Amino acid sequence: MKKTTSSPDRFIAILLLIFAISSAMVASTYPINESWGGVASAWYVSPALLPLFISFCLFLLSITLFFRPSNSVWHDYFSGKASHKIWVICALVSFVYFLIPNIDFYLSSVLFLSLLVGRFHLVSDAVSKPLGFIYVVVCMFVLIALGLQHLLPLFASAPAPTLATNVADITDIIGVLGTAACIWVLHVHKVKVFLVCVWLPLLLVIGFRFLLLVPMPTEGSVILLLNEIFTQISSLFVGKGI
Amino acid sequence: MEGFFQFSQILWQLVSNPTNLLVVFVASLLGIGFGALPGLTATLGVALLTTLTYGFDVSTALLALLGLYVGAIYGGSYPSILINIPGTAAAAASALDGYPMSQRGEGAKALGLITSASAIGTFIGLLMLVFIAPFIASVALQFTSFEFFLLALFGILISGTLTGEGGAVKGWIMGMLGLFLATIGRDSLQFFPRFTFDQPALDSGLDIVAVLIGAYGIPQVIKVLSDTSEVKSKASASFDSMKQGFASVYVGVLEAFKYIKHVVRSALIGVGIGAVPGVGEDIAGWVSYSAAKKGSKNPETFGKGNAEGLVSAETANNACVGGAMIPLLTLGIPGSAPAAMLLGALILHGVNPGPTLTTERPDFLLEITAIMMLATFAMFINGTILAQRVAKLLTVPATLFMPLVAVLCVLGSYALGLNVFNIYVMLPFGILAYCLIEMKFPISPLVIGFILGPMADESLRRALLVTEGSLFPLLQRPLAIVLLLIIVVMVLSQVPLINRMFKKKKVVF
Repeated sequence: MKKTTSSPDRFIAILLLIFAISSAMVASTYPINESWGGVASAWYVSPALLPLFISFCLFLLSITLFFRPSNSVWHDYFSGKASHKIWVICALVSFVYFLIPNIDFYLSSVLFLSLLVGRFHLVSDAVSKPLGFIYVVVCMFVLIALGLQHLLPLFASAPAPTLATNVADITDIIGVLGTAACIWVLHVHKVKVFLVCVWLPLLLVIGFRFLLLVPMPTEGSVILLLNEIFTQISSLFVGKGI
Repeated sequence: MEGFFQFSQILWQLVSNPTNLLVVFVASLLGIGFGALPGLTATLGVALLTTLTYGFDVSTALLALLGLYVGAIYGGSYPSILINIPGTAAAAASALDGYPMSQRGEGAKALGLITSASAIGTFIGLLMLVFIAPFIASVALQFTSFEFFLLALFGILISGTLTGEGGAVKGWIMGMLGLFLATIGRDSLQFFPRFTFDQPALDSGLDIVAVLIGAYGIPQVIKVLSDTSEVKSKASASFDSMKQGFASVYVGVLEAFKYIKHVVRSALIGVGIGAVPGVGEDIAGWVSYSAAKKGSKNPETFGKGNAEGLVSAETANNACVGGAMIPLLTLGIPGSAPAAMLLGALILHGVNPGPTLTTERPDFLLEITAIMMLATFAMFINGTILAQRVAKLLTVPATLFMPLVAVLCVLGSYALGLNVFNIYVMLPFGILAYCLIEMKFPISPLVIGFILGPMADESLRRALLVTEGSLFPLLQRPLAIVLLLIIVVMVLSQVPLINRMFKKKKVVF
C-alpha cells in the first residue's frame, strides 16, 4: 500500500513532536546551574536533566516515525463499532467526572452498570432506551442540583449544599428505582441483570466500606443508611459481649 | 543443604497456617476465572487484587497475588481450547491445537494435558529462579549508579524492541512516554516540582496503581464492550457437548508425562523469554510452539490438534512466570506485564526488589519460591478438580461482567490512596492507552518506563554527581561497557541503513 501524508502514524508523529518540544521548553525553565532551595546546582544534578533527555529522544523518535510510518491507514486501526466506543467512553467519563464526585457511590454505580448492561447486554431498544433516558435525566437533575449549590448561597442564608445534595440523592434514588422497574418489567433475564446491576455493587460497597474499611468516594443516603445499619448491628454484638 | 532446610521451614510455616491455604486456593481459583473469562487478563487481575491485599502482611499478599498470577496464565487456555478465543494473550498459541482437539471430542483431555504441563512448567521456572537469581543478584551487587541507569535504559529499549509491531520505534516511543510520566511530581534529589503545573495533587507524582489500572483495565473494558462477539453461544455449545466427558481430564493429566521432552524444552524457553524485561507469556508461548513444530517429525499435524503443540505452548507460558521473577527480584526490572504490577504491589508492601534485596531480606527469595510452589500446587488441584465448573464460567457473557470490571477499576484506583484524584488520572490515561494500543503502540514499554523512571533519574544524576559531570569513569567499568555496547548494538540494529549493510555482507560471504 502506498504511504500517504495522511497516515495515522504521521499524525501521531506530529503530535509527539509538539509534545517533545513543549516538554523541553517547560523543562528548560527548571534550575540548571542556578541554586534551588539554597542548594547550589549543576547541570548534571539538575531536575531538568532527565526530562530534557526524554524530550530529545522523543524528538528523534517522532521524526523517525514521521519519515518511516507504517503502511496502515486510519481504517486499519480501531476495530469494532465507533458508536459503541463513543458510548462506553461517554458512560465512563460521565460516571467518573460527574456522578462519582456528586452522588452516593452505590447509586452512581447502579446507574452506570444499568446503562452499560442495558446497551450492550440486553441489546433490545425496548430496554436500553428507557435505561439511557433515565441515566440522562438523572445526570440533568444532578447538574441542576450542582447549579443550586452554587447559586443558593448568593441568596440569604439558604443551606445550599444540604439542599443540593438532597435533590441529587432523591433524584438518584428515583432513577435507580426507575431503572430497576424497567429491568423488571421489560426483560426476561431479570435475575442475572439484577445480580450484576443491583446486588453486586451493593456487595462491593459493603466489602470495601465495612470489611476493608475503605470510605467510598461519595457517601450519600444509601451508604449512610448502610452505615447506620452496620453500627446498630455491631452495637448489638458489642452489647452482648461478642 | 542448609538452604533446603530453610526452604522446608518456610514452606511448613506457610502450609501450617490454614488462612494461607485458603488465600492461595481462593486466589488461584479467582485467577483461573480471570484467565478463563475473555477480556479479563492476568495483569488486570493482579492490579485489582493488589488493592484488596494492601492490609495483608507481605507473605499473605504474595500468596494471593502469585496464586492469581499463576492461575490466570493457566486459566487463559480454557477458552482457547473450548471456544477458540484465548482468555489471555498468553494462551493464544494454545488455541491452534487445543481447539481442534476439543472439536474432536478431546476437550477434557486437552484441559488435563494443560493442567499438568502448566504445573510442570511453573515448577521448572521456579527451579531456575532458585538457581539463577542468587548468581544474578551477586553480579548486580557490583553495580554502581551508572550501571543502574544503563540497566533501566536497557529494560525500556529491549521491551520496546521486542513488543513493537513492525519495528522498535513505536515501542521506544512508549518507553520514553513511560519515563516522562515517571518524572511528574517532585524529584527525589532536590525536591523540585516537575510538570506539576502548580497542582498539589501531582506533587507526589502519578500513583502507580492508578496508572497500571488505567493502562490495562480501561482499554480492555472499551475494547471488549465495543467489539462484542458470539462468545456466549459458542461457549454454551462447547460446554454442553463435553459435559459427559469431564472424567477425561484425569487421563490428560497423566498423559502429559508422555511429552516430558517437550515439556522440559518449552519450560527452558519460557524461563529464558520471561527473564527478558517486558516480554511476556504470549511471546514465550509462540516461540515454544514454533520450536516444537520445527523439532517435530510430523510438523504437518500441528494446528490440527497435535498434543505436542498444545503442551509446548502451555508449558512455556507458565514457565515464563518464574522467568519473569528473576529480573524482578534481582534487578528490580519486571520480566512481564503482570510482574510489573507485582513490582508495584511489592513496593506498596515496603519490599524493594533489586540487588540489595538479598542483603535486606536474605530469606525473601526462598519465601517467594515457597509461595510460588504453593500457588502451583493450588492451580494444579483447582484445575484438576474444578475444570467443569471453570468451563461453565465461559457461558457468562462478557457484556455482563465487563461493566462491573469498569466499576472495579474505579474502586481499585481509588482505594489504595483514598484519593479521588487517582480516578481522575486513571480514566484519561486509560482512554489514551486504548487509542495508542489500537494504533499498534505496545503498552508494556510504557509501564516498564514508568516503573523504571525513578531508578533511571536518580541513578543518572547520582552517577554524574560523583564524577562531577564526567562520563569517562563509565568507560572504566567493564559491566557498564557491556551494557552500553548492548544498548548501542540494539539501537543501531534498528537503523535501516546499517541493517541493509549487514544483509549485504551476509550475501557476499
